[in-house]
Amino acid sequence: MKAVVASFWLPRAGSGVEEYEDAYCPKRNGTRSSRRMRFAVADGASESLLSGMWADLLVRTWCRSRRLGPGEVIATAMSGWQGEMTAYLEGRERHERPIQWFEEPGLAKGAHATLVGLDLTTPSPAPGRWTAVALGDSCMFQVREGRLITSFPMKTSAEFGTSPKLVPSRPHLLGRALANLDEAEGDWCPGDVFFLTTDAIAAWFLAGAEEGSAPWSRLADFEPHTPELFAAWVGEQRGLGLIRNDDVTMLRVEIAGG
Amino acid sequence: MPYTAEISRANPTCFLFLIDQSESMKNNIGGGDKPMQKAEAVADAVNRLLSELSIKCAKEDGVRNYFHVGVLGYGASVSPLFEGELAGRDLVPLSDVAAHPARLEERSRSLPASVGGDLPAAGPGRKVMFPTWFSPVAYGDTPMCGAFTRARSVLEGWLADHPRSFPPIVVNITDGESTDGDAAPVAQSLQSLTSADGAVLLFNLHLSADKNEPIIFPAEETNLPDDFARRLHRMSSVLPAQMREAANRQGLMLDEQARGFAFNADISAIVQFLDVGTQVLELT
Repeated sequence: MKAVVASFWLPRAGSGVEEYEDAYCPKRNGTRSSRRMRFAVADGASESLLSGMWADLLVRTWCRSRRLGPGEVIATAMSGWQGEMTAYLEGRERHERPIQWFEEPGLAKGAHATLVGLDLTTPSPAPGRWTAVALGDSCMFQVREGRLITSFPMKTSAEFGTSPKLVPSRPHLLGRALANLDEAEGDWCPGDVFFLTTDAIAAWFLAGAEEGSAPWSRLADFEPHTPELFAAWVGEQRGLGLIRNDDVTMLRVEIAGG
Repeated sequence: MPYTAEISRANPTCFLFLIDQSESMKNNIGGGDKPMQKAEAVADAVNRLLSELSIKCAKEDGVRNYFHVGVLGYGASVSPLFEGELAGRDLVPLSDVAAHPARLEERSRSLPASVGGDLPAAGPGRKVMFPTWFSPVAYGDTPMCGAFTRARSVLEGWLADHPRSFPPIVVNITDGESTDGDAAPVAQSLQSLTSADGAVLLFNLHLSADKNEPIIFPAEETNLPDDFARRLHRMSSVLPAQMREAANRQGLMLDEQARGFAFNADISAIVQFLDVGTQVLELT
């Protein structure tokens, strides 16, 4: 199977790029070829400390651990997080920036992020199969021949709120995280397009779909070598109140050969 | 639509607390497990709020300046209450507030190891830091007009630098009537200051030593017991939608015209009032 990957991202208006706390994987755009591919998008919770780092670890772990199921991926990320935290705390000490009193409660609570992961396989005989996993309101959409055929895990724009389910970094919360996990599966065909997005674009996408405006057509137009066009469009939509002012991330995966 | 401006580091808002320091603030407040002076309960609640705001806005690169914060006391005089490094300053960016508490007290917290979190030092008996920025004082009269006038002057300057901000929120905490004149016109003058997003919000929290039920966020003045309560109610701004929604999530079910006003507040009403009245930043 061949797929063309394009990623787009932007921090919330008024924030710098260093404040961006979404994550996506893979980072490299272009054509990929494999019998099995994984993609993921995550959204670090603003009220957590180090949530961007946790979101990044989650998407990397999902994409690298292609033989692991969703629960094992989260457990692996949680144990990896302990190492990353130790390195982070040592780094702070080394740079003479000890943990401050106002950071302690946040660090004690751990980091949190939403996650949506997509796994594409090419069984023999065809058709291709996909499985998806989600925790929270980051979404996966599948579009075939100009029609939205899958919306996962959110189905309507009304479902988005300010307290989504989150993947915690603390291992003793693994059981609760797994209980909140959503899973789905289906077929893919050459020419299908998958969009993985964090909540702000996902809510806009579903609102557009509900009005019959085919929002996927707009997202299909952007090219990764002109991120400024994507940024200008997001800015315009935010100004119109159609996209909530939040970090935005969109990973587009087009299955070649349609 | 007013009160919808995004709050960010580039476009922060501000909280200004005005704290009555009159002699009567030495009296005990209702509602606690053990006797506590009103001045002490207020200092405790506002110090705790400053601590919570610092923690809420803390990220790995430091505390984000979504807010500028000031605390003015009025009693023997009208003056800023921050002590230590921040002494004498009216409005301070939150990162400076977090960096310079006047005192940082270490207390033990008994947490089981399983909920200790990511910190290596986590575990039973872990030490937790409790910061304070100012101490309770109860001495003098109630120069509320002076406090509103000072607040107006502080916010006028701040608004000139932050013309597009979510409007500043002034929380006046008192247990009695103004002793330096009719506070209503001065309050009105304070509320006439605006940013592009709306007028300055003035909330009034009245404390009581008696056991009467607190009246919190009333829309109408008909149920208020006396002229003093009604005057304070009229001086209080209508709560913006997001604060009303925060209150409703706590089960208060407020009217659309609910005002930022509480009468006969006890300790738990102070905490609830400050929580609702500072709900402006949505972090998701």
